[in-house]
Amino acid sequence: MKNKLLLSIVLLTASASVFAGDATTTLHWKGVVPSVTLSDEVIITGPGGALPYADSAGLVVTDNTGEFTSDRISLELHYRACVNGSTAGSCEPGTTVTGEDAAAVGDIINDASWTMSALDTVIGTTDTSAIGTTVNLDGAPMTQATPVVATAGTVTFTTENTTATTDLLPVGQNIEVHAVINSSKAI
Amino acid sequence: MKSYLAVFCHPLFIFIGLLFVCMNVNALGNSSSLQHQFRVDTHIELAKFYDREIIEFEFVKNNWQLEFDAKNYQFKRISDVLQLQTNITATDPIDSFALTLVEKQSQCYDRAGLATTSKDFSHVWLAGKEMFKGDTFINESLDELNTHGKYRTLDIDLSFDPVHYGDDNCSGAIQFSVELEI
Repeated sequence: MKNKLLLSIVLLTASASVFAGDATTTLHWKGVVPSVTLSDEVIITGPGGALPYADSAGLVVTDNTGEFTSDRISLELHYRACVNGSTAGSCEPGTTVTGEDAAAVGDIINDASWTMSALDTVIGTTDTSAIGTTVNLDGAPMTQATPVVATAGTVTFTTENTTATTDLLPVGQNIEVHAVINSSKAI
Repeated sequence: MKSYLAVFCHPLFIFIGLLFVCMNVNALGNSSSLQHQFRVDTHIELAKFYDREIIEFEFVKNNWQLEFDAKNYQFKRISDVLQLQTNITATDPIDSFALTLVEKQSQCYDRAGLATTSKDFSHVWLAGKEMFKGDTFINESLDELNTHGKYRTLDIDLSFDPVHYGDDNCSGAIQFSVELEI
């Protein structure tokens, strides 16, 4: 009779997913929001090339419902004059008149594009997210980020809100509308 | 029969970490045969066989000064590269890692230095896929090799929502952690 010795060997390898050797890294960023972005080739003015131009207007508020209209702000876009006296734009690089005064104002650009890039309504601590403030260009409501091409050079902006706030506003409550408008001309 | 047993008890058949048991069946005499099955379990700790390290884990450019897109009133998108360098050799089976977006924050301030309502307006994109804070992408492939070992580069993009009138300056950060998958 044979004696038998059998060895059954089972090798088990742990296969669970575990993590090892961790490390971290950080990216920091910062940026400045320019209050006025100057252009090397064009300049914004008031009617008739006037500088400085009015960039604020009064709101007309007749009650405490939060509804309002506004006075008008009229603007134009002009080429920057060249140091050689030309006012028709297309100056040689580095030869435009810099600064924000009358000497820098060249010819008016009648077909400039005007774009509203930001719009905020501030009424104290009131939630204004449901308020339908509009900014109008020559009487037509603007859509954010959608350029409007002028046809006669001078454009006029107004703002209004025809949606009453949920609660009546306290007497004397200040209302502010902030709009960021860009003007450009493909040259 | 003696020679048969001698073969199984020979040291050449004993592996490291395994428990072998040989029974001297001769002690049992010839009265009966013996058949016994031994089960030997072995847990191999692979990590102890390798010296694995993350040598480098950082952005190519980890401090950014953003440019402003006046037309859309928002900061311009930036693209950076995240570098993961290990000393893992080509023969090491480890070839993946997990990437976690640990932190993502953004905040704007007015001219007086007070925090404004423009907050949490940044977005992080890994290879075109948006990552949110706390997200972990697992099974990221560690499939490139250089003289130091296995490595990987990842394209990380940051985009930003428009900020608001009254914001003067903004800042933020993102933080990633990485873990090798063993």
